[in-house]
Amino acid sequence: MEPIFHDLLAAGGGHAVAFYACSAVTIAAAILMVMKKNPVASVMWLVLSFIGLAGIYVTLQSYFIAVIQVLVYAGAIMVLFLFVIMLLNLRREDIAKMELPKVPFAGVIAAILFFVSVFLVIKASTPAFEKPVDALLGEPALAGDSVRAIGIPLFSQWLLPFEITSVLLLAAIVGAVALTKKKL
Amino acid sequence: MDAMNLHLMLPEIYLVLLGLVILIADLYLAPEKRFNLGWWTAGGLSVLAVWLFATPTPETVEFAGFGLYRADGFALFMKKVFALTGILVAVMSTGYLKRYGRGPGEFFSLVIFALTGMFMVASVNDFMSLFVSLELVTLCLFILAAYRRHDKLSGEAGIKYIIVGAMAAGLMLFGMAFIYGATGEVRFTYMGADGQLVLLSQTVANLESGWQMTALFGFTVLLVGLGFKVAAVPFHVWVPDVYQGAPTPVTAFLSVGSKAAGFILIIRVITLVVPTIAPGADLALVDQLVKLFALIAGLTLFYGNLAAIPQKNLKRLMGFSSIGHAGYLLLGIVAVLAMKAAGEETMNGVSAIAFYLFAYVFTNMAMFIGMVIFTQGSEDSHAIDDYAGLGKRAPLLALCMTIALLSLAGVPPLAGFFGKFYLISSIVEAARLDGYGWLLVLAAAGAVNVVISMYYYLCVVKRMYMLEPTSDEPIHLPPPAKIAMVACIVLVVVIGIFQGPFVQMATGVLATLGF
Amino acid sequence: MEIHIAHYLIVAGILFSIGLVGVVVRRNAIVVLMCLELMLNAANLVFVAFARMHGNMQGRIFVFFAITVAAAEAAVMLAIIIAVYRQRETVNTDDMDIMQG
Repeated sequence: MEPIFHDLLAAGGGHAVAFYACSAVTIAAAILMVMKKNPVASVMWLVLSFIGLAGIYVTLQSYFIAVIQVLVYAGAIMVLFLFVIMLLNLRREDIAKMELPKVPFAGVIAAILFFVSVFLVIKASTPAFEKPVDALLGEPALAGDSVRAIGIPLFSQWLLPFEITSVLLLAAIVGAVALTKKKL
Repeated sequence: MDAMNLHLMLPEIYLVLLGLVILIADLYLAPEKRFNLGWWTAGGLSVLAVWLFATPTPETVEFAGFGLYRADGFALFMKKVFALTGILVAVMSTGYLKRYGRGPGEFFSLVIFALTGMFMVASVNDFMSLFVSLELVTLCLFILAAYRRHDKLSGEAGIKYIIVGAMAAGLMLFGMAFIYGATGEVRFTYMGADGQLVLLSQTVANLESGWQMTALFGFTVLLVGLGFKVAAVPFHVWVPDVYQGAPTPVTAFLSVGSKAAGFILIIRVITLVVPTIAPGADLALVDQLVKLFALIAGLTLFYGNLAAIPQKNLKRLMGFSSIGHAGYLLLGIVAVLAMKAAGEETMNGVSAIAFYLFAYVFTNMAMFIGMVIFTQGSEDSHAIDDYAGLGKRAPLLALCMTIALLSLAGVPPLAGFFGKFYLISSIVEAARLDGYGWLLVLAAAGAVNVVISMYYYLCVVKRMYMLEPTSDEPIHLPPPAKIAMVACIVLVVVIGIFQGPFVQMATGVLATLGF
Repeated sequence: MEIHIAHYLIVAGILFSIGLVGVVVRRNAIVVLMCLELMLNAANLVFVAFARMHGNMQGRIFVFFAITVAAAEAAVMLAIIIAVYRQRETVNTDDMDIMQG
């Protein structure tokens, strides 16, 4: 799989086209996710957004993470969401309540401020970021995003957080059972 | 540094095993015996506490888990605090769960898993473990906050807490990503390729100015995320609702454990990642952080204490008071940052925070144990008016709660007074530095807030003693909870009168705080 | 047309901001949770982009942990949502206003 993407991205302008296409899909789908009143539609747009994000990961040559993104996020987690929505049989938020209360404006302003600050930071440090990504394609140290390149450090250098994660998942399982089981 | 060194991590391994034992024992015990699991938990944690207190304070920093886990004096001190918190939470939850009874096995194993996370938080040496451990703590607390699932308040508290908690996690992650982007490293200290110890703070100090902007942005967003966890204004909105809605023992756990974990992480990030400015060097980054934190600390102090005044519910009042206490703890952080900005490595702010947290555990826990005892049999609501005439109904309970409240307010010679005293004096010390004279305003704010907080705490005391009781129902004090509460109160007084050894313990953490 | 790391960061900033708006504007707890997931994903994108730039694995491994934590958090939050729904037949966060003061 890697060589195919690699040639495609390396072809003149291919990288930029892939990046812009994936970003457009991701952002548009994310906006639609927030705007849709029906939670099921929101989930579907979020799945599309995550798939677009997986595409962005591909343009960064992080193929394995792209696969995980689709499998875990767009697959498993979103199915869980759909399942809960169906279980609770939620259809629409109360349409009569759709006028915006005061707080959201503050939220929108906060978000705009946040984005502006990200933008300013990026602009202020532009010289530091001026390393075209496609120029890095094929550099030997960077080409490796195989399962092996991630797996070996994950189970040696980064074993400790990995073990903590196992306790975290156990706690999540115990908690989910404790909160939803009828008789305990 | 390149070894697993499992022996250093034995306390954490013990905790995970204890949690599993509780979880499995729950399956095999008869239903009426399951509530004894609280005693198992308290016993298991007591063994751990004795073990930790018997461990000598390490003289050098030792590393485990391939350099991702640091065993130093500060970590050991905070682990003692967490172990004591865990014991007290277990004692007060046992009676509580018997009354609202469900799922004791799950409850106590989640408490232990949260403690495991707090232990790991105390020893973090990299951003990955930091993120995962802190999420372990908050995830367990989300579940515990919503544990009384048939109670509307508890469910509401759970939803609000998880929305805010997950948002804070997102912010923290975003901030860490930018710090990683600026430095290319997530470990605080590590062995470089040439066998030299590399400090992340050194890497940050050597960045070009463009990258420093990136790092500053990362720090700000990360510390905002941590601000949510420690309930600093303006990220405090969740506190009153979650404190009121969560089961009372969980509120106690939140107010001490979760807050201490947040402060540990702020201290770790500040001491290990934020660079100390060499004299003459021009690095605006740290100075900006001092100003940001001074602003947040001032707002937190005033908001917490002023908003507590009109409260009608004691749990909610404790929520606002907890915001106020976060403000005091932030004073210590400001002091440390100001020292760093002036190029000095004195960390008196950290030992003041350590002492304050140690005193705060006993004070706050005594208060919450008293509240749990008070509500037996009735609903878990805590209108302050219900406490009227407590002095006549249960003199011992009223006396203990009064001492706890006075210590929270900072009345000498109780532990709380000296906690506040050391924090304010650390900020006064920082104000002597060139260009930081304005920090005296913050010290004055701290002193003014002692008076404000005195007012609302004393209002509660007044109700207990001056008003007639609303009911004659006698209050039964279950022996274990009574012993725990009295022990806490005795310690509050002892720490206040004989501070020497405790101050020594708190300053002992400084020796190994650096790399 | 060269794509710089900065482009990726701006996309991440936009996604994060959309998530932030969603968390505050939407009142359906499940949609709020989706917006939170979007925020975590934006942070992941920053990590992957920087990992690409620095050419080391740490950022990518961090993303694995972030995904795991997000999954655990989603599971717990959905469990709490189900528990709350059983009590009061709504997941609208505006209806959660018993406590005020």
